[in-house]
Amino acid sequence: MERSAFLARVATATETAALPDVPPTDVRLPRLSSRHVRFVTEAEAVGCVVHEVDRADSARQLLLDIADQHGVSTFTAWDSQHLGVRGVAPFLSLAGLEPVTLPPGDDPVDWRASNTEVARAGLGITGALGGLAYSGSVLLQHGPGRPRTTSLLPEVHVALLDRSKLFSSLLSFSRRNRRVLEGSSNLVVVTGPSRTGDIEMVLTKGVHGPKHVHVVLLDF
Amino acid sequence: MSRNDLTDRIAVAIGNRPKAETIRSATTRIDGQRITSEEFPAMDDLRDATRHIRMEALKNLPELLDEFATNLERRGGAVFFASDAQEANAYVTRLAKAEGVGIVVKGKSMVTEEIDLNEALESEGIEVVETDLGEFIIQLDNDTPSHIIAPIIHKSKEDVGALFASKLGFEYTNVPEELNAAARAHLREKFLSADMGVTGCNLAIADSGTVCLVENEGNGRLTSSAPRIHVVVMGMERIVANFEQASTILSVLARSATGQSLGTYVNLVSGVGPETADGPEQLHVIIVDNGRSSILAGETAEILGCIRCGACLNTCPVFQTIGGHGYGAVYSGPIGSVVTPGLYGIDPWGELAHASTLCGACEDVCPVRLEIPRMLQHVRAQTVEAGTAPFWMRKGIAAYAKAATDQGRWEKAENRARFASAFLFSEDEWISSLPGPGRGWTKIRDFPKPAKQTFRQRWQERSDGT
Amino acid sequence: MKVQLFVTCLIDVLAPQVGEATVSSLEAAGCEVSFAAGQTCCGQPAYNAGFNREAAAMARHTIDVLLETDLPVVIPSGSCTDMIVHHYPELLADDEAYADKAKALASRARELTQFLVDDVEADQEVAAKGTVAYHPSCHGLRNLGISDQPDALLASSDRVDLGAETDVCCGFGGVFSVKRSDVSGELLTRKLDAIEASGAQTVCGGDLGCLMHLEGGARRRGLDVEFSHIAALLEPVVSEVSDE
Repeated sequence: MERSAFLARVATATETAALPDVPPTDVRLPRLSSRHVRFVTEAEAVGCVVHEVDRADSARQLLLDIADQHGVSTFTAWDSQHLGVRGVAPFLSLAGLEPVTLPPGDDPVDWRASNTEVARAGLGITGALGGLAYSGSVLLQHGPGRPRTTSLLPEVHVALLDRSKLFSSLLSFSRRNRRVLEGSSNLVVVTGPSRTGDIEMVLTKGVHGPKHVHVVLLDF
Repeated sequence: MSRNDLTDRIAVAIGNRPKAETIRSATTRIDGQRITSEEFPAMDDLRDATRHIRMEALKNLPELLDEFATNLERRGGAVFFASDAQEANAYVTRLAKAEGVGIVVKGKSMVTEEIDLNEALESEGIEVVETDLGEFIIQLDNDTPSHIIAPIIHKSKEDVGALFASKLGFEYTNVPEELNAAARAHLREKFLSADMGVTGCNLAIADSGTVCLVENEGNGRLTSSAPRIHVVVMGMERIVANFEQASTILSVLARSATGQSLGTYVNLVSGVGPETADGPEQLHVIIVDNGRSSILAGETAEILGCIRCGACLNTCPVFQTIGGHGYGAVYSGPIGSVVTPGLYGIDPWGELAHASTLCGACEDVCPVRLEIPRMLQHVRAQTVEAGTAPFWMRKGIAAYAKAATDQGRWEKAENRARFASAFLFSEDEWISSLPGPGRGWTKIRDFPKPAKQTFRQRWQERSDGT
Repeated sequence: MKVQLFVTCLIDVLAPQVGEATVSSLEAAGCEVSFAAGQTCCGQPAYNAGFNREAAAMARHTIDVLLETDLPVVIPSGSCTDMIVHHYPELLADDEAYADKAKALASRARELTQFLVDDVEADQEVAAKGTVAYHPSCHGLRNLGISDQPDALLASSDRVDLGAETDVCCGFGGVFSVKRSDVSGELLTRKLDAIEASGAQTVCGGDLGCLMHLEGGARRRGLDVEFSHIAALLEPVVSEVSDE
């Protein structure tokens, strides 16, 4: 149906709609004494492993340790300038891990082939736009050099999050970043590993997305 | 569906004791997980705010939809306004054929069940693969979901193991982790070879042309990212003005549904952008009416404020007893008992509104504070106006109302009731068998025998005595 | 204080002793009780079944009878009180002659335990044989917020509760009990299971409909529990007098 005809029918309906007048409510979530403490608590509660580093080289070493811990030999990562830590890919490659990357943004790509490539990676490394304390979430804003599949196809996802970018909640984040959705065609709020309780309500992790999520808080 | 169909479905649900027990324990468990205001004090304010946001959105629905469509197009998406199921399915099928789509992967979407999109695509020779684990299992088994957010609440792990063994050729296992791993491997291949992904939409955000999709498994992310075409099917009422309003609703959605603070993945999809290879080339949003405007025009308009959290289903004692299949409709439980007659007609679906004690537990837990009992009563009134009330009820209520509007008639009626009861067998003042419609009572309970004197007779004596 | 009693159709016909107990309790609380003999039924069964016209007719009759005086109305039933307080004004909102009267009556109608505990702070308590459980009828609980009041009346009772099953509907639901006896029966069994598991020797409540449904079912299954309207169990509080 044509837009104006469709909307005209809806408009007619609203004329007789029995809808209540409900005054607005200004919601204020209780102030957190420490967003950092709450973030760690909530992220761990949903099954993330949270680390803290105060130097770039510790961050790089930690990534290698996480790869070893999970026995992965291939990795994929966002472009360096979006990770918050420089030199990650070279460091891991030198340590013997095989990098899997998509071609840079402007090159034409066979999309099916590149997804299959990324799916080979056992570890995906991203940065983060921010974190949410009340839910232990990380915000991933996607675009050139920041593919969605990095945090989606590998079994292990590590998010590098600048500790100063912790918001208390999604609500407060939205109030301070009202136009953030204009910045990218894909923004995902990730809260823990992929999960389901569909089969007899038994909680299982790693259904279609990652089974393991690590958040590395960068304090430098 | 006729009245008898509902009775038959209830008999099937109640008759299978193990399944009935599974449904009851699963729903009470999820109900117990729901976050209350004792646990999270901001819940009260959030629910008030959510009600305001949803009611305002419905009042301004044409403007919001117009704004959303304009912004979606600005950001490289395509919009289609589908007045009914047939138009929606025709658009998707036409698009799929034009683009040479062979495989469609699907995220969980109640509205696509409502319009029967899968059948429309499959009849054109397109393979449709449900990727939400519960929906995937339903599809494999040719079954229907029994709950709007926990589709296979009625299946055991043994059921699933047997199904995977026979339909997918996997070695039998009843261990959920192993079953999940099997599904992951099977479906990963489908994701990476699909040409089109179809999802629903939890909320559309008007001022940025954004589609918000909430899920736990990651199949929503994959469905909306891996294939080159992403199609979103959206009930026209699922919209808010801006990101702050969406965040308010997201703050109650998962807490009311499963007790999580947020669903694992909140996807905010805004058009088609300068992406690397892992984003779709095309985004199509299909806005569906399919009877919603006729609900909007009436007394139950506010039911369109629903955010599909499932809390009312989990807390409803009737749903806990008969499960989603008992209702026989895509939308079940308290919400479904108002929406279904609204979408598909009072006759026969108004009957669902009678399958309730009006206990009010649903309204108590609804994050939008929807006045479901009021609306259920309204649907009942509509069934009476439509003439579908059973004969004995119409006669009985008419006679009752006649007696109850006059003291003399009332006292005569009381005397008649007492007189008649003398003919019924009773043991220590309880009757074990009532005639006519009363049979419904005495099938399972004794009925108290009317007292020798009514209260008013005793009162009269007392007054006379003094 | 002068009040009038709305006794409810079920109590009038099936359990007049509950009406009398209600009067005694009100008198013990210092009230002078009158009874408008023209009263019949609040109309809730018709309303819940969707027969709005018939319900409105019964509402007008009830309003006429109870507004003969301006006395507050005390009602030993949460659901009847809910009907009068919340649904009379809605049903008669467009009735020029009755809209204001409906609101006036709604402002004067009080459920028994609300009246005793909140309005007159009666010094009464439940005296029951053995352990006692309270069944919170849905309309009273959810639409009138009745919970603290029975708690106060049961404060010194040997009380047991039904845990998570306490607030779950018993399955009576008025006409539902007959029209959907299939589901009603399931919920009845579920509630009786919970009562049995609690070890309660007496179950009391504020709504006769629920209690009839529960007791009728208990008899069939041979469950030996006393069911009683809370009005019939109320006694003046025995104050402990010091020996000194």
